[in-house]
Amino acid sequence: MRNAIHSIYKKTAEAVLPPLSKSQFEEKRVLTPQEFVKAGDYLVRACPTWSWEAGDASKARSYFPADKQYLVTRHVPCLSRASDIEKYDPKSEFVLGGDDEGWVATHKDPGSAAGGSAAAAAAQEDDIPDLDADEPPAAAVAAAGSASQQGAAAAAAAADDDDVPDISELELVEPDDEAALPAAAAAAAAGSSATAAGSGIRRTRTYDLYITYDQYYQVPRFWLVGFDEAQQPLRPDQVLEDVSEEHARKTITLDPHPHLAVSAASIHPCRHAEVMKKLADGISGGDGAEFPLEQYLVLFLKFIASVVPTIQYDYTMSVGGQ
Amino acid sequence: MATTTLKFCPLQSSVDVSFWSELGSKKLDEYQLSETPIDIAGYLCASRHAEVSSPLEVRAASFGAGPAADGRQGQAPGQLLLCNTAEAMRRIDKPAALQAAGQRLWADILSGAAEVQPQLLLGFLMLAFGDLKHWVFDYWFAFPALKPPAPVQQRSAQLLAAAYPQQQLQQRICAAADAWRAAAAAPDSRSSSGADMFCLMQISSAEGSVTTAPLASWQQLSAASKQQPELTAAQQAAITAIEQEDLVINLMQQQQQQQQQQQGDDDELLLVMFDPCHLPLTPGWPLRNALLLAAARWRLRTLRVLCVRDSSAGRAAVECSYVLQVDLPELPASWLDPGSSEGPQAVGWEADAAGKLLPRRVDVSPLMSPVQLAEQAV
Repeated sequence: MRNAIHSIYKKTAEAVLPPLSKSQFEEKRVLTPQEFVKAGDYLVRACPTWSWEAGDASKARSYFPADKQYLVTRHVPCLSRASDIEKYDPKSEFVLGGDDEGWVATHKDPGSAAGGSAAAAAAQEDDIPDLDADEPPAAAVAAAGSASQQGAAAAAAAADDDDVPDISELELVEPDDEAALPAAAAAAAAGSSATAAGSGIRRTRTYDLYITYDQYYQVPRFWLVGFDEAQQPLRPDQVLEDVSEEHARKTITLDPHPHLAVSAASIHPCRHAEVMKKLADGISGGDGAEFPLEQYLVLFLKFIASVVPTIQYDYTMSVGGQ
Repeated sequence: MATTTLKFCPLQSSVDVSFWSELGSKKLDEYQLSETPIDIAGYLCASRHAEVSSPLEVRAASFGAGPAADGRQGQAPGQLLLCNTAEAMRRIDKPAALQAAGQRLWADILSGAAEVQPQLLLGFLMLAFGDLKHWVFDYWFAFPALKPPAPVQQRSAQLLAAAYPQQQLQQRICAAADAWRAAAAAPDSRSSSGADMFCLMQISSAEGSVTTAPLASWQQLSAASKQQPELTAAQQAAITAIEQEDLVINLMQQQQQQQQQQQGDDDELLLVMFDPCHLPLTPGWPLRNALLLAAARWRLRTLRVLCVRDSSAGRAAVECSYVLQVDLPELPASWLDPGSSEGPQAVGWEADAAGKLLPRRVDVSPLMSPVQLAEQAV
């Protein structure tokens, strides 16, 4: 509720107040729209899985080029749930910036370059517990993967039970196709590779990740749109399973996507500037070198990695210095 | 050498929530009760992760027919059959719709249109029915693949590093594949439809040179370069006779390598696919139609194919890209006559999560923006 009221206030303020025009990057580590585009261009060059998009033309912000409204990377795998790797280990915790109020990176030092692979290894080393009973789509897939045809049929029938009781009448029979890898085999193969050290149950979700510019807070804002193994969209509560416990209830909100006509989970940007200031000052402080503006989003993604530890986008690029 | 039936990994569909939201408003404002097929664009890119294949994706932008903003994604032309009722969706003759799409594709291959616009090889169908009150959609994708008269045989499959041991050459091959896509993404590019998922690559191992070219230049390039000579009949017979003996096969391979070295000045011409599949050494679905194109247009019986996959940073990766040597079946003469009604059959309805050929259902109501819902509730 508070969030809803605040959203309305924020929207009104954005409509009335002009976007930031003078750079305050060095003092506050916030970005003007121009600086956001500059940092975005760097990210797209450095890591071509990220790209600019235009989105819904009627929602376009006039202070951005029409084809550079927000950044997106699609179908990033997420092999296990955040809770699976959240066995508390004090050694794995780093308070960013040093004081108690700082953001906590729970799983790895985001400054370390080995980030991505370390998280992957950690995710795979942990035993993955059996599926929760309240995950019907995943259960259906698991049943299919285990090659139990009857089980799969039953699960599918149960899932489709409501108003199309005779859906199986629709089933097509195609001529034999010896050149097609059977779907079940493909699924099984995918499962075994995804959970090589796990329980053999395929739990690979994928995420579309968005970075938009938040005019009110003058910082990037991170959005998550998830899909399950069968490419079905995840509900907001399922998305929370992939967010670190530390942040799940506090900082993730469901809001209308600024450039698409859908709602999505996002990390609330109210404290991004503070965290970014600590991180960036930490990097530039040591040898007096100024933190380069272009690398802002690369650093931002390293910070986001602590919130969504099991989503495996490539955040291994180094920041600062070079 | 022994061959096995080449198997292809079916494409997966992925529908972004923004697609449903856009479809909902278009249905209300524009299409209304029309059931005319709607042209939409699908987006596809090379596999980027060892764990998941890249799906063919539709999103809100699919309706605009604009190019994919991501230069590394290819664009696939799709046809949306939007039904007004669940009953209408049930009644559509699905096998006939797929065969019709297959015939269009075959005509495009024979006419050469698919060489000029390789994205035609990626065409797809999408059936959909939406309950707009509750934001529940039934949908079903088909990715038409034409069946050759006999399955394509795989002679060998080698990782790029094994096929071209020279490290510098491997890097040049990957760089050339990246440059091909970057050129398509440039603002003044030759096509407005994003990166082509197929191209040709000429590799000269001796000189270490690599060049890329569009599919349409096959005839020209293959005429210019001496083709790898076929094994003579006597050699073939010898190979068959001693096939079981591994040791001898090794000897034969060495001999072949020597032969290749002797022909060291020869340029090799490969078909390149940006491969959406993630399974090791298994090509994705779109290669099926491209191989049939090679058999029909270039009259090839054997072909080398480079399947390019990307690293998670989005660049062509030496570690997971691979080279296939395939044998193509001979096509019946009647198929190749454009006037004839004979041609290959199409397959390709997508299986649901349980592996059955059934439509899928999605409930996107939890993700619809309240603003959107409010607007449409009026």
